[in-house]
Amino acid sequence: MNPFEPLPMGDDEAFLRLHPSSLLFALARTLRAFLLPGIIVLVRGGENFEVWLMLLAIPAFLLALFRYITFRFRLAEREMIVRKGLIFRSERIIPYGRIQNLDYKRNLFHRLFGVCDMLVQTASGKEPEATLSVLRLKDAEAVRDQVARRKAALTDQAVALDAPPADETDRLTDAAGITESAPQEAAEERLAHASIKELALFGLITNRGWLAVAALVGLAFQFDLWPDADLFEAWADRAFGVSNFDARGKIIASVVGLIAVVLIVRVLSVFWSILTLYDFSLLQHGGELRTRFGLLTQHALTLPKHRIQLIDIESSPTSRLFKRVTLRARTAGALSDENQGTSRDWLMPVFRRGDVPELLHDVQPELENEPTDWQSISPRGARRMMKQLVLLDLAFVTPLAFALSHWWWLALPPALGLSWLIARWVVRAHGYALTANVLWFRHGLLAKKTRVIRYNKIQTVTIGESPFDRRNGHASLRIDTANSGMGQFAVTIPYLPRDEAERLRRALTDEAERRDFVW
Amino acid sequence: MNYAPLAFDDDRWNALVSGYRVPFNPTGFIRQLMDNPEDASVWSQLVPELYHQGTVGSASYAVVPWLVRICEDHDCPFEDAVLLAVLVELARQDDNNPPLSDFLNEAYHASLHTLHRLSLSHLPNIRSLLHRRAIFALAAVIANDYSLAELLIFVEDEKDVSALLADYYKDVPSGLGDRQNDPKQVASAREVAPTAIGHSSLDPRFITAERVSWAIFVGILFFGWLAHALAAFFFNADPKPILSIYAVGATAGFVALMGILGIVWPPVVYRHRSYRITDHGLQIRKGVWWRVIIDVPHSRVQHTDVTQGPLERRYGLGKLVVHTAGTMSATVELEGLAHETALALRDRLTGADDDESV
Repeated sequence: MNPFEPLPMGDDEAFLRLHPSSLLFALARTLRAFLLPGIIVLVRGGENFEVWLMLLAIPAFLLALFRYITFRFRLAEREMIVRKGLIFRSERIIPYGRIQNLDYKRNLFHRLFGVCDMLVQTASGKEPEATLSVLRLKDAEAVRDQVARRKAALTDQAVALDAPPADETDRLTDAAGITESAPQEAAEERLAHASIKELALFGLITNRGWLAVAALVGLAFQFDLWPDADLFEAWADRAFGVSNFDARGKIIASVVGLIAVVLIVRVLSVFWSILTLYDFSLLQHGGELRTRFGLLTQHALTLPKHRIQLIDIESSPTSRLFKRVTLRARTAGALSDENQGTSRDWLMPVFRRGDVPELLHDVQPELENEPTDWQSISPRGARRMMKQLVLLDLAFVTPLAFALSHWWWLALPPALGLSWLIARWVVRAHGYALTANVLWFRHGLLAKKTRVIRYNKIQTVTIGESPFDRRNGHASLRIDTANSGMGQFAVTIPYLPRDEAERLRRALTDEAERRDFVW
Repeated sequence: MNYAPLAFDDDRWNALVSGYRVPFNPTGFIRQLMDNPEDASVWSQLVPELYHQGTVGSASYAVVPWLVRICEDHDCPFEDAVLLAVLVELARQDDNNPPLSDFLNEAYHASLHTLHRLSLSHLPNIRSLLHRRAIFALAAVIANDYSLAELLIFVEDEKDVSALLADYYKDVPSGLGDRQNDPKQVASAREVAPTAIGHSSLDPRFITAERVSWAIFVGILFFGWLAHALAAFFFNADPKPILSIYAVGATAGFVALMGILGIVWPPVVYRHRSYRITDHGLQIRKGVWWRVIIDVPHSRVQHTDVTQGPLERRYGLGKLVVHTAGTMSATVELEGLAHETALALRDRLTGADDDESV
């Protein structure tokens, strides 16, 4: 088949349709969108127009219906074609080379029907390029493998391999849906897995229970169910047999209450962790990494290895207590937003500190072991940071002292002492190291982060000199990569001696230029 | 023989191009070499700019007299200097390379003769084979025997040729040429920050364009105020608050301040902004208080644009916009270039490799 030949718009048979249960899911989505407002209207007995507004559900559902009826997609030789629209037809052509990730997601209902939502992501930005909602799980996996295979075939143009004749693969349809594709060359290999114990630990460490609490509070506000103080006292009365709190009783009660809340939140957090991250596994499939997790809502995400721009090794004070870290990898263009407490970037949300080098080696074979010769930034930086903190301390204490009592001046010496320690520690926590293929950068006092950037992912290297830098003979070095985060450089090393910054700039530019960048 | 290299403060330096055919101002390098002529790192940066696989640019011709001046100052025909002078002179014979401008012509030729005499007088003490060969080749050039010079420089089997010619040049006249010494130029050598070495300035018309755009801005403010004052004068019952001596004085003061800033500031910006094409890619230096030096490696340039606004068109300027796959540096902009320079830079930056992969 000539790939340059435009496909006739009317030719529908080569195209695949979504699974019929899509209709149900579309209906469910519409209902869900109108459910909460609907309940509120019913419970509170809304205004007339609010009831009429509910009728909007009908056109919304019709729209979803049309979407399903007209939605077609097709895996051509070089690109995925998605066609939709009844009156205004649109045809989107997504070349395989541009497809970054094919993720799928299934909630409980998807699982009851054995289907899933599939998201096609390219480097182009925030929204998925296309959403196939819904496909049978088996079909989704076939699509994923098919795309991976064709992508590979396109890269090594020698092609032919064992790809079935074009006709056959172009029409994946038969009565059963999608034909089983040819046996995969690369099997999935499990690199890491989080047991329930680990996930419980993660729940303890991260304290995501607040998410649930926040959701509850939000819901309470929504329905005007906020318990007032009387109610609370009545409840306390029944629970503890105290009718009227005296001052001491109040203190004890609030302490007990606080501890109880913290405990409940922790327990919730553990539940949340096990529920959402159940069976978290990091898998390797050829040049792709895949993560898979979730008990009710299952996620299956892909991270192409060569598109990884940055790897982060993060730890918090509590996670260090348990010798655990969180591993993240940022890929170019992928959605890196946090979603209900889970992150697309995760390689492993919780992982043993000691096993990190081994895993990193699996993920990026060209990574060297973590260097031992970390370079520190200028110790003079502590003095500069101290100056800023002194101003901050004064800004806090002065108004208090003048407005309330001059006793507040006594708070200044301890504040300054603490500031001095913080400044020293923060500056000392910074470190960088250059190894054969990689730049390492670490910083952070409580939440520590080590960032790993391969030289071939460095886009630009910048030296910045503020007037303050110049006075101290300092400069900062900024390194930019793709997807380094809104308004952030991937790495900013502050308070470097000027000539060292210059040396680093040269070295890094040199290393970057010697390597070709592939997204 | 007297010869005067192109003065460092001459505007014509900015019009010169390197072997890569992009603007290249080598004065910073020359100043460094004046201090330390044996600094290998400076040579290794300078030589590829001036001579790149047989191509040279107008800057190469302007540098040669300075190299000779440096050799004279230190009374030593440095190997790199002689080699570069010969390579440039040989490359100059190629029609693909630019002709020697009139204003460089005299100093260039005179300096080659001076270097010739200087190096022959030092020949007995020179041990390095390549160095000797370069000197012989220079002698061949002076004798107008370019094929012999090429043979000496490019021939593979060094020993035979050099032994052969060493004999020939045994007796050489000694003695140095006269020269004009300019202490001012040596003193100014330390004024340039090390990072600005090899950088080219923007087009000076940038200053005018900036001043004009500033004037337009101040003008709009002023006429806005004027319209407001007139309206107050004619229609307000009590125009005094707006037309009081204080209000008028403050406005006049503000306009004057902006006017002075508009005159003083653009040259400052101009001085603090420069660029350079290196082996690695594009380097931009900018910022007056908060200074940055940005390096964009060649292989990271996704595509480049040259844009021109109405004012820029009026003054023949252009803005170079380099796009990378980065986040903060997704677009790197360089304003105030001559339009042709911007176009040349664009071609230079995108020409190298067109990687299809995304």
